[in-house]
Amino acid sequence: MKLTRYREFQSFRPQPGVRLLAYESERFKTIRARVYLLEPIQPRVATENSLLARVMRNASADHPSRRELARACEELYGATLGVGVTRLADVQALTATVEFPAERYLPKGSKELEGALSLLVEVLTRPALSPDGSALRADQVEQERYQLENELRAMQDDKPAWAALRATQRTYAGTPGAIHEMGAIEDLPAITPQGLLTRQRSLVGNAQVLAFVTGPVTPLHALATLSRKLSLPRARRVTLPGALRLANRKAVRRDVEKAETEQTHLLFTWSGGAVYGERGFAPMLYADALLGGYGMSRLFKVVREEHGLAYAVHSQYHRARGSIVAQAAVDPGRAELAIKLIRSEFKRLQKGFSEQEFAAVRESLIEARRSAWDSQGARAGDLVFQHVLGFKQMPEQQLKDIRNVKPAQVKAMLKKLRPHSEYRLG
Amino acid sequence: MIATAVRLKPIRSKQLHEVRHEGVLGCGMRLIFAPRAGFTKKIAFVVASYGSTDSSWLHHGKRVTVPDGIAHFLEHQMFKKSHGDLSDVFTARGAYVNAHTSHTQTAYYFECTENFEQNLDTLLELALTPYFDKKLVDTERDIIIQEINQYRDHPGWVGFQQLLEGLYAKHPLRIDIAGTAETVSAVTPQLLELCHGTFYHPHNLTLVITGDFEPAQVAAMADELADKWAPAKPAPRFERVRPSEPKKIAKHKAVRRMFISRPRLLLGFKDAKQPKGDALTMRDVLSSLAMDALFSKESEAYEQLYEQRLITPDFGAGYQAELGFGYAVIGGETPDAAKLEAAVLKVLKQARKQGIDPEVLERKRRKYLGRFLRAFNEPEGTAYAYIGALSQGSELFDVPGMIERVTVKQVNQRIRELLTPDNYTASVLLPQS
Repeated sequence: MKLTRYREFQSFRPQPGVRLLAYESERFKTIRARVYLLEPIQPRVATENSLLARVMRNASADHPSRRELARACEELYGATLGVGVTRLADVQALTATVEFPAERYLPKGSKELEGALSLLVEVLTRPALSPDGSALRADQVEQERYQLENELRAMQDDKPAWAALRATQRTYAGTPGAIHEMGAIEDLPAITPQGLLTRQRSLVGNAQVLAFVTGPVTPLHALATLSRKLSLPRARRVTLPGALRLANRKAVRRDVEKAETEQTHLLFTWSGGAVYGERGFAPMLYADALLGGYGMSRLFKVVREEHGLAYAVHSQYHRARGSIVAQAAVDPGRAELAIKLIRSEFKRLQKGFSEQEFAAVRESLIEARRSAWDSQGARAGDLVFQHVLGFKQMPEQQLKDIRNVKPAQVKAMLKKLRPHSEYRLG
Repeated sequence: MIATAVRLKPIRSKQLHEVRHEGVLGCGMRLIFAPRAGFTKKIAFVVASYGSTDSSWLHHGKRVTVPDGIAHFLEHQMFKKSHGDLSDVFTARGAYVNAHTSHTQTAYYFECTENFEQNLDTLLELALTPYFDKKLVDTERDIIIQEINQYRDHPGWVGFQQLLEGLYAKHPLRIDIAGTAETVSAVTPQLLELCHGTFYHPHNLTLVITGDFEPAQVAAMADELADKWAPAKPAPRFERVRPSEPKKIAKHKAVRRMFISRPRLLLGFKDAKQPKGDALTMRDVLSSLAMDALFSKESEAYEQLYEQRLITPDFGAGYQAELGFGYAVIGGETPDAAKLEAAVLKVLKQARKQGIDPEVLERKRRKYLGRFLRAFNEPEGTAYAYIGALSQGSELFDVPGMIERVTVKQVNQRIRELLTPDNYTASVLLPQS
């Protein structure tokens, strides 16, 4: 097996569209392996993938129940095993992850790497089947259909997340951006155990695959073991779509939804900025941080500290969309004042910012990135996101770009941003 | 860097491949340093042994009582100084800073990759220098009321708080950490000053540092900086006052309606009195193993309840042990709270009768050793592991050995004494009709 360098990872590419990657770090006590199966996000299919992930997590060919899978994890010194779905721009990823203590910290003779990777590959590629092998087990599918339906209904219980979801659905109505990675309740009745097995085979056979092993493990050993176990059909893998950039609107869209909540939840979206991978990316990081993305932001200072209107107020840069979304939870009786302040703070920021604000943001962005590279999952997550958006950039280059941003670039980026939509729940 | 007089003692765990260094700084503050070779991230916590339950104490024989939620209010207020908000100072250097208050502790911390010494200096200034301006206190009160309201929208927190109210009749655990809009309205700059003077003396604080440093370097730096901000006055004498908590739980059931999609049930079991030292840690180990053996995903009960569609993947069970109190919690979302309650009680009845399987305990030993290793995986986890041990007054490195020595008989005895039908309360949240 010949490894090549891919960003900071050691990599092996068994076929086009499939890449195995390893990053050795002695800092950690655990080894983490994660496989991403990447496909364009699509209506109905997203729900199938979401249900499939739950079924995979609950039974596999050799461990045909939740209990047996849980027992296998306990035997691996309390390994954690997860299968789920997530979204990266307009791509849905089915992910399977196992994390377990490195052998060097366990009693002599432990073979946890072999065992953990076997389990990971098994849940992904060898699900529990019906007696005739033509479908996933019907009892498992029914059970998880019920659980997924409840989980989708329960999303409204987390009020800030629910407000963000409802705002997203309105902002991206009619586009892949409105599809939730967990799927939709109305799609569930039509899913069959046969259809779900077809979906599993399609994912394993056609999705783009990125698989990572990170931690105190030699890349060659890790990737040789993973490659031996993860035997995938040789097939043409899907092409991933470009991300849908949020287009500016002529008039701001404003939605209000009533709900019985203690607080009013407010969301504001500004569109028209750069996306991850473009030259304007680093200035956009500054623009978001200045508005609400770091500890000294305008929204934090004015809405929270000066006026005492909110405990939680912040903004987030949606890197694949070129948009900034601000969110606040406020007293219903003072919501109008909060709305006025958030709108005016953005306008005020477009007019300029101080040298101190700029310098503090620069330090925060640099520190946040350097800290993130210490984490076991951040490097892999960033690489996958870059892959989905179709580019590759070393972390050091990102730091360099952040360091080199000039205030004029941030001002120019802020001027490009336009109010797009506002949403109010409560 | 000046040569230090503070001697740090290395304490090692062969099993965990861990070492920490401990000592007491010149000003009386305890220092715990955990080296983290290879990490660029560095973290420091100042932890006050002072939480929301410390609302009453004796000072020179006289009882002092302060409004509920004041420890949390103080946490917010400590960032404000006469020369500005110290959050801004950390942020200007790019450091991440935050704080939190629990029932027994208040912790202030920062994370950074550069400028550690300057940030540590600011952290110590933050914790050791009081400044309570009326206008700033009034503004902060509004923010705290919004925080209280935010938690009132959170079903997990509402259900848990209702559970504590059902378990405890007198113990201040039954009161929300942040207090209420009414109690925080009674907080004044003078009361904040009083609480700071009582509980933030260096003798009541612990500095926890993790990062890629040499122990002597950390000791010298911490000693010099703490000395710069520490008050010259001696540590105040005070004695915490805890009302005597009845052995019995306060209320068998509490039900509340909320804007949620489906019901939630939590069952709580109370240890009215807790031992100290190793005995407390052992009780924690035994209780946690018991809960895991009975209700983890690997258990027969979990499998059956899941098949019966009485629980969702968020169902869980655990035990919380701190100096002076302890409780077990079982539950999660359910379509039928009454049915789930009956089913859990049935499992417990059987467990009290039959006990747990010895084979299960062997697996749990492996699982818990792995969990312990994982706690030391990254700098944050390492710091939190030591801070958790502070709240128990326990020696963390003894825990793996305890797990190895635990017997089935001990676990079964714990099940029989804690998980009894007359020792539980049910907290139920129902969707609004």
